[in-house]
Amino acid sequence: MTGTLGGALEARQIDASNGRLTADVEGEIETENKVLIIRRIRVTYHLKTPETSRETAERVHRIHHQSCPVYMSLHKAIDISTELQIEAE
Amino acid sequence: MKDVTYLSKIRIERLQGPDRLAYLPAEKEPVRFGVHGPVAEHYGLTADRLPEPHATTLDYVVAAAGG
Repeated sequence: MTGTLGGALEARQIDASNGRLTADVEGEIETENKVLIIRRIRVTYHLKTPETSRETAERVHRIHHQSCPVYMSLHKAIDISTELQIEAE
Repeated sequence: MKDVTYLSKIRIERLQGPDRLAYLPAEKEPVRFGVHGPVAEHYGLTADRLPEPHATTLDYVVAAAGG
């Protein structure tokens, strides 16, 4: 998802390269009938960008998952949520 | 039935116990699957039976989703 978001940001002239976009990802695994199953994945993005880019970045974040192959492949089985934290420059 | 756009072909080599190598397209080196921490405990693997902890396939799925 980070790759999809980064590409979508840069298509709108928001630099997301060289460490400006990072993500912390957590997967919650539960046990069902003695089998480990990934139930939830939480992605927290951290983007360093000027304040003037905030609105565009937030709009891109709201829709980017629809273009992510892995999200679209997994989301019916795993609850995948994302959050965008912007560090204004 | 739609035509397949891309066929991902990966070879898995089991080493021993939970340790496996995955040979991925376009990568020179394989990645290693294993167990660690709570997952190792889930499978009843104590420290003395688990000489080298490695990321699990579950970790790789989480990483791939976030990636």
